Amino acid sequence: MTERLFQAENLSVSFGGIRAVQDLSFSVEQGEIFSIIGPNGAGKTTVFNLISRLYDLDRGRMIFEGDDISGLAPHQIAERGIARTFQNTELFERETVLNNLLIGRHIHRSTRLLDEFLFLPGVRRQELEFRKRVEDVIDLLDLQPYREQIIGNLPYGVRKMVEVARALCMEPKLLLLDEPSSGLNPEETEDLSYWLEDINEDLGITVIMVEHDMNLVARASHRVLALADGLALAVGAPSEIQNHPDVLRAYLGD
Amino acid sequence: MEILQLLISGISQGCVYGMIALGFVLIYKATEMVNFAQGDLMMFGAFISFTFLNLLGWPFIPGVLATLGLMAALGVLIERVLLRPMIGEPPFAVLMLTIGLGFMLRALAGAIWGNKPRALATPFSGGVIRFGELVIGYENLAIVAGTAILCGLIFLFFRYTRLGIAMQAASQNQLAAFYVGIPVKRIFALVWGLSAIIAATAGILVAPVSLIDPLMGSVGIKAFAAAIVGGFGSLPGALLGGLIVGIAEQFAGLYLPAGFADTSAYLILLLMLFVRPEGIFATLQRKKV
Repeated sequence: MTERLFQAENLSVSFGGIRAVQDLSFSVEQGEIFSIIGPNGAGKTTVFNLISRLYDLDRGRMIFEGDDISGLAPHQIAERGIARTFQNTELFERETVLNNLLIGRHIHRSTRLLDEFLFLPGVRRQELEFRKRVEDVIDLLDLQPYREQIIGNLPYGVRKMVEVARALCMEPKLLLLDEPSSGLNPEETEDLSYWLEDINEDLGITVIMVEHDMNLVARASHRVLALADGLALAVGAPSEIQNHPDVLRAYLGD
Repeated sequence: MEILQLLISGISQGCVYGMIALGFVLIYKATEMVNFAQGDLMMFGAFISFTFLNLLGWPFIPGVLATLGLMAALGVLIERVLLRPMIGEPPFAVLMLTIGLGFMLRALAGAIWGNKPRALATPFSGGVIRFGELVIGYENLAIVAGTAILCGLIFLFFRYTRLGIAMQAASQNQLAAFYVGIPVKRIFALVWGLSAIIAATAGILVAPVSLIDPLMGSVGIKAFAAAIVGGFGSLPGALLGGLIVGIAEQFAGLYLPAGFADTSAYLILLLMLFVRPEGIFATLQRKKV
């Protein structure tokens, strides 16, 4: 019996007259890769923004590790161990890859202001440890050539991986990936599916992924949730969802 | 010798502009708002230090620390009460708000301490050092030394501390900062606190040279010009811009007809906008197409 890591209960949110998400319930088990698919405007990214507390829920609640997280501030979500990436990447553009990854360790930094001013041994030890953790992530995602490069000068595909790397530096329990393959070429997408496997199996991180590329979804995910117009259509194994009549109708029309 | 003498007073005046400009830039970088009350915060800091040091007769160090503490609290309070409700409002509204805040601070200072100019007595008031014909006032030395120490501390703060790095992160990308676990709103309040501390430091250092009165914050406009010359958004640029304006002002006062001294800051600003509109240390990058 696997353990339930995250549970969404009757999530609902409207923007003006648009019901972006309606009574959506799903749960994510510890250790799985859970994909959310659906046509444009189905509410996929809205679900992510709800989980990361960018939007307030109108109704419903979200349970993470047994605690209700519906009322936390966005920065507290990170402290709980939920990391995310964005569809169009939100990185610190004028900093190096290394600095972007180091800031991912922010929640783990425990040194005090005065010690930091004096650069005491404890501070030094922590910086070294952080650097080592960051290097592990760099090795995992093959980012070595870009370590000292400024984000603004990097190609889009690399930036997307840097964002995944930054999320991993937070050592999250749950990783939210918003369209990780958008803007990647076919080889990069292929690499991405292997990395997803590594992240999930070797690091033991549970992943919720919003994704359009059905090949990637079918290959990488354990279960899939199909959304349309803010409503859940179906949830199940990738092969079931791909042939589900409601899903086909939502994508292809009647 | 005359030139050297001018240079020294220019540098010390420039340090004051530079410190106020630092406050402008800090708040702008972090919150994308321009705080036109920065000069008035300096004035208020000067008055508070005057209260502790001269009216209450506290010793210098405790008096200064109390001033900085109180000003930091004022800065945080201003952000919390006035600026935070303005999140999402047009920048122009925020700008008007800070101009209004400046008026309020001036009126408040006038009501509390009166409109008569006051002199702040400090341990470094009055004395001079002579090198041959060169005369340097202790106050001027204190300004330069104070600015250097302050800048050193700010550098260490942003380079090494968790809070300083979090501030940089919040100023570069608020959304990303949220998702690595940085409480962005609290950081903004602290940025205001830090800017108020810097303003108060400038106020304490400049008060023995120029007198304290509710209108002394008007140098803030020159400091604003200095910040733009330095490339709004760059901390070293703000300091350098301040020095350029301060030095130019002294030389204009001696070698150019009357009136040029006070306008030289704006002439330099105008010139800069023609030649290199992005400022000396450009931080705004052109969008690549």
